Amino acid sequence: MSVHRAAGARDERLVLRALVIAACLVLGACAQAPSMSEDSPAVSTPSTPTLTVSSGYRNAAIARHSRLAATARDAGDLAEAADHEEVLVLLSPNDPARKRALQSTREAIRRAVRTHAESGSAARRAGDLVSARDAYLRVLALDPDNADAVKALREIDSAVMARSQGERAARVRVPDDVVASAKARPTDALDVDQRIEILRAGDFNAGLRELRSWVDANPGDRATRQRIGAAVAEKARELESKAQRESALGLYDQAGTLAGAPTPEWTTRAQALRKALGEQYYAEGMKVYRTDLDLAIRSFEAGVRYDPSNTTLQLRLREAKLAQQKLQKIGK
Amino acid sequence: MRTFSRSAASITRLAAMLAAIALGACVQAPPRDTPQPVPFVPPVAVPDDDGPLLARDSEFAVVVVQPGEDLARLAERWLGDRSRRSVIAEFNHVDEVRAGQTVSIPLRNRNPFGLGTAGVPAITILCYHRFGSRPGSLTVTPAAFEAQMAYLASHGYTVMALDRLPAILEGREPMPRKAVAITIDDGYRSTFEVAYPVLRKHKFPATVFLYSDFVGAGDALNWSQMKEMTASGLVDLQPHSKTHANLTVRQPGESEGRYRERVRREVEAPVDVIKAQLGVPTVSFAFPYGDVNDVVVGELRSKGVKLGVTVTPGGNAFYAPPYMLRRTMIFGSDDMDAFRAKLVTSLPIARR
Repeated sequence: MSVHRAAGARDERLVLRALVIAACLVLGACAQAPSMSEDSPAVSTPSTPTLTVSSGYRNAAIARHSRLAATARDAGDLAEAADHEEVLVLLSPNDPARKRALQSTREAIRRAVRTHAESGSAARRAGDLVSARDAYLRVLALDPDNADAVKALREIDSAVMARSQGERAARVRVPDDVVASAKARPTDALDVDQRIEILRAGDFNAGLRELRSWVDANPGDRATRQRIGAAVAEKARELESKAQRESALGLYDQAGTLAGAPTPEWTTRAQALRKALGEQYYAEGMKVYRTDLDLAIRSFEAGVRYDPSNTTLQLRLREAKLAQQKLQKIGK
Repeated sequence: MRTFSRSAASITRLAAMLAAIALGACVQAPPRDTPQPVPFVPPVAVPDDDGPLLARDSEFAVVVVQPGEDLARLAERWLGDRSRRSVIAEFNHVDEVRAGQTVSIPLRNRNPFGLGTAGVPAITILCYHRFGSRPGSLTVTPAAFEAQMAYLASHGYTVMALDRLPAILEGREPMPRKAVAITIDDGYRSTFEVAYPVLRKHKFPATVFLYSDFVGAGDALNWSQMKEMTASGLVDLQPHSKTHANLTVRQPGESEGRYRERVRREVEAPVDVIKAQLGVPTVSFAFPYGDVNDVVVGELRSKGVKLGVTVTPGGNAFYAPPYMLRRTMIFGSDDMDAFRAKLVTSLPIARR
């Protein structure tokens, strides 16, 4: 008997457990899915109990948003005040005072938007783009969906940037004497810096072309020209240390031209390089003098071009040319 | 007993079937592609009036926070995105929520441009050139670059790829908070040797603007380095002209037609070579010396380029002109104070 009762109780528990499982599955699934329309603020569909709720939540919410709305109003933030008042109307749909407060705030917003938009428009007409921008931003702060304000802000910022670009372009093209007397702006210095960096990075063609172009546009800016010359000379010294004498000499020459006049140091270094190149070509010519007369002549000629004062080179060049003439006669 | 046990088992199976059918109904109910937030279902014992969902319309939902819920979970449930927790935090003037607290959730973006008392959110586009041990006006030392990137990482800046900007300027995406983009001009080799490892360490995206004639010069990047950086997904190669000539300045005696033709080549050549070498679409263009005019913009539009960056410093708000974006140069002489001062992520609005 007791066995039967025990078995019955077990079966009852099984059934109960099965029903609980089924209920939980259904509830769990429904809790995951959006089961109500936007119009129904609360549903009676049961779900997994997660919190024992006592009354008073609505009142707590009303108190909180009343406080937030008042704070926003006091701070002059009508848009935020209206948002909290909107929540209050949602929480107390039958309270006419809440609706009136919201309507009043919305009317105040409309008035303020009108005022700011008019002030923005007036500032634009007067060419005061900064004030115009601020006015339209105030419009958007109150009315984020205001497409006119967004359009106006885009136009204003385009005009600000176009003005800035126009000023840069004008400075590039003004006559020399105006540039010379004008105070250099940071952007001018940066333009030059960029050109110098290109040269330093080893793009000699672009670097020198861009620096020449800057000097052509600003021939009277002596200080900057000297800075350019110094940068080019620095690169020349670097090449000189790597025994790239011809490139280094070319850059010393460019440094002098770009700066307006070479420094004594550049002149001395250039002269030394000319002499060294003269001797280098002399040595190369002598190496092939007895085996390749044409190449020797070309080397002596190059040497004389670099150092016309090298009398030994001149002598050797003359000798080589005479020897070449003799050989040509014999050949004929 | 056995009979009863069998019937109990049958009931269990029946219950399971019923549950499965009900489950199926629940699953089919909401359309899968509806981006509506999943509403909260109140507990069984709670009356409608005072349940966790206190009220809702198309603009707001007012809920009671459940145990284990925080702002991120609420944002995920109601706004479909955990990262939008700040929307709920700001509206309710709270930093976090606790169970049993009432919270209102704005279901529609009440402030799409992020305007606040602090001003208008803006993005600063940083412009670097070269990196090296000897600082110069345009050369930043490796230590300074590392310190600057570490500062961005540790101070909550959102370092975003420049190619996200068109969507923001078109109003399709909100401007991220404390937004910064990193760009590096010209294509110096030090971009690969110095900057790239630091960017990778912080997982920061960056755009390298290359003037294509530079490739092959002593200190320039080579294509293999550019390919490696591009393949990482962090670095985007974009054009910076062909020769680095100022595109707004006409050469002496240059006719209108020849000038336009030169501008066309200056835009087209780097776009084509980058596409051919790296297979990268062109989104942005950096103007040499930051100078631009209508001819250049016209050429960019014709090539489908969406952004043009200058070197006029400052932040870019949502209303910035896409072909004249401000960009702030970082110099070798900038200390951390100077760097911080250049991070303009909010433009002030003057008080009335």
